[in-house]
Amino acid sequence: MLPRLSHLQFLVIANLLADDLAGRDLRARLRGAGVRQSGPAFYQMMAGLEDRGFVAGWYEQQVVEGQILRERHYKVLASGRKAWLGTRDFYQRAIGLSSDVMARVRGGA
Amino acid sequence: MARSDRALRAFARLLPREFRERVFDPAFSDLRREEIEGGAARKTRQLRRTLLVLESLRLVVLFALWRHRRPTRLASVLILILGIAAVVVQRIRYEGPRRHNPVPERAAPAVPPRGTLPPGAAAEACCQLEQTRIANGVPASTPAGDGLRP
Repeated sequence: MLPRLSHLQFLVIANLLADDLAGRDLRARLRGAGVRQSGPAFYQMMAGLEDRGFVAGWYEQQVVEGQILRERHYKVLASGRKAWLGTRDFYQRAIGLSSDVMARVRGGA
Repeated sequence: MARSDRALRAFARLLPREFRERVFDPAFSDLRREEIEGGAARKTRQLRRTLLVLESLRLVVLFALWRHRRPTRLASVLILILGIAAVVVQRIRYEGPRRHNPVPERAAPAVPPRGTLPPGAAAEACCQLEQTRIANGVPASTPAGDGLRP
């Protein structure tokens, strides 16, 4: 079966598996992994994951230098975890297949 | 910066509520936090805010047309209007040349005087005349009235 998550969604949920994260921190981690996305594009992708029931988002209010800011936080849900595991299994099977093919190619050469 | 904040908040009020709460507000909040913590130059701030608005506009168009993996009501109405407009345009294009340049009716061949043609040629001329009449929508001739039949 094909994976239910795209590469980017897989990476997002992988980051959320260990702990809940603020959108800003999650974006910073993605940037570290080479993902360049604008703020609105990132939050729209997260809204899509929320709609599919993979993650849950909520606001937390913070005061930074006297200014009130509402920061969006995310946590992975059970269906998100399941989708992530399914996607990981898919990639592992694909890696196993490609390893067999590579071994045969090398053996033939 | 307070004026720019007010302008952005006014812009946010124009956006659909769901989009504003889940996309624009967190992105704007992140931007403000970066500005507070980083203290970027005024021009950089303005540029970032302009980019936020432009990016939000780009995304909100898609959001208005496609949501929850299906077209929205607005998208359905737009598709319907475009379909009707395409049919109307095709109809106008089809009707235009016919109205301004109507197809001229073909003139019926002159009937030769009785007894001037040999029998074979007379029958051929009769057939040709009938075909022309049919093509022009003229009622069929009576056997005795066409002046060609023996």
